[in-house]
Amino acid sequence: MSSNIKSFIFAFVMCCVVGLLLTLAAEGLKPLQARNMLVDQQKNILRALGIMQSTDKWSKDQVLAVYTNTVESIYVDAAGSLVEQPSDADLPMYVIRDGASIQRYAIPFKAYGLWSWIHGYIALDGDASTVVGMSVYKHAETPGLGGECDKPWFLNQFIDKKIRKPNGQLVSVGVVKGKVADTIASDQQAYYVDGMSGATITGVGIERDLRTTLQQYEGFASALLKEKQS
Amino acid sequence: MKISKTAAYKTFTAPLVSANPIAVAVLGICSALAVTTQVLPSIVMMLAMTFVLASSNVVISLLRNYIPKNIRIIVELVVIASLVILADQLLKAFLYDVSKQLSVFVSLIVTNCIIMGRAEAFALGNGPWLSFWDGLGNGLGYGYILVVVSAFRELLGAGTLLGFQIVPDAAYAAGYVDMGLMVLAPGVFITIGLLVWLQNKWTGR
Repeated sequence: MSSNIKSFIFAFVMCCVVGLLLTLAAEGLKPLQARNMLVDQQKNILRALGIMQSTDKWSKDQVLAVYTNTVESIYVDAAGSLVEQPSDADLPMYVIRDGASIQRYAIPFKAYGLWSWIHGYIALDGDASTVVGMSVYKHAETPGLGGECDKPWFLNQFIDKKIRKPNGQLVSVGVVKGKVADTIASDQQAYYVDGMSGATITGVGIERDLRTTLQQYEGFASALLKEKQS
Repeated sequence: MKISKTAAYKTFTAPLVSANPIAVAVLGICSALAVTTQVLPSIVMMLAMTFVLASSNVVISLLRNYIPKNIRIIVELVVIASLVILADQLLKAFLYDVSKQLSVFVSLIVTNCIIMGRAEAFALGNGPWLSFWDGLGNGLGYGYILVVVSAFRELLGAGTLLGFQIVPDAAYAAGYVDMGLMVLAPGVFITIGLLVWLQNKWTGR
């Protein structure tokens, strides 16, 4: 048998064996991985909603249990009314109810930083104006610079910030270059957070795409406010 | 026979000090740069690397008499890549948070020159028993440098070790500032450079 044919047979057999082994491993581990991803998602929603602190170390079962008991996943359309059978155009939301009324709600967002999409959740109070919390669960920004966007010092700044002027106009939360205390007039400081040093573009991206996301949910916000007034 | 006289012992210990892949051969620097900002990912990287290196050495050594010479590099790569995918899948299933932190660097173990180097230079010419020890030694030799470097970086760059705060709050209150440089790439070059110097001084090369 010539050496070429031998090489081909060897390569073919090896590919079959290796392919089979890897398929078995991937399929066997899939349930565990899916569960991990689900827990991670729920953990970030709970963090944004202020139920879980960034210092809390909860077990997977604890996260799943708390999430199932408190959070409800719903979809709304652009006008803000609840949709039973969501289509792609509808907006996902995670709400905590106090009786029938919505106490706080989390919105998923993605923002383009310097290198990558930054994925996270921002949660608002039932007044559709005060931020209860924010979390970031996936990004590929530079560690130590834009990578700081998933650190508690950055995210916790968003707590109690306002996204809306007293007259109801949406302004979202801005990320300033440097410190808020040095750059922003004191009556405007509720709409801004400190930026990350060395990561201006990451900050600009978060500011821009956060505003876009919040605008998409304006229909829901005004419906919610109307309901509260009546 | 004393254990330190066996061939396995010698094969195992050489890469730990005198033939260390990072400090002496200066291989595998790219991943050493990337994952060493904190100690925990470095430890996991060490384990993943040692697992891949030891198993790839054994598999390639077992196959060494059957691998056709003209496609041997491809065969080595397939073995290594499969083991890396396996390690990545296991991490995703059992250590999800760490695997998120290591992200792409686990899959980049494939391109780590140490693994291919050991397969070519050792496993193709030696039996599975010695190859196993060679893989273990090289993996740990690579790994402990990673852990040492990351300990320096985490301590100086963030004031913590394994996530626990080491530098007291009083020091920060007194004006102590974390060394931002250590978290960035230059911090590794400086630390590894110092380690290589120390190593050469010690072994007297």
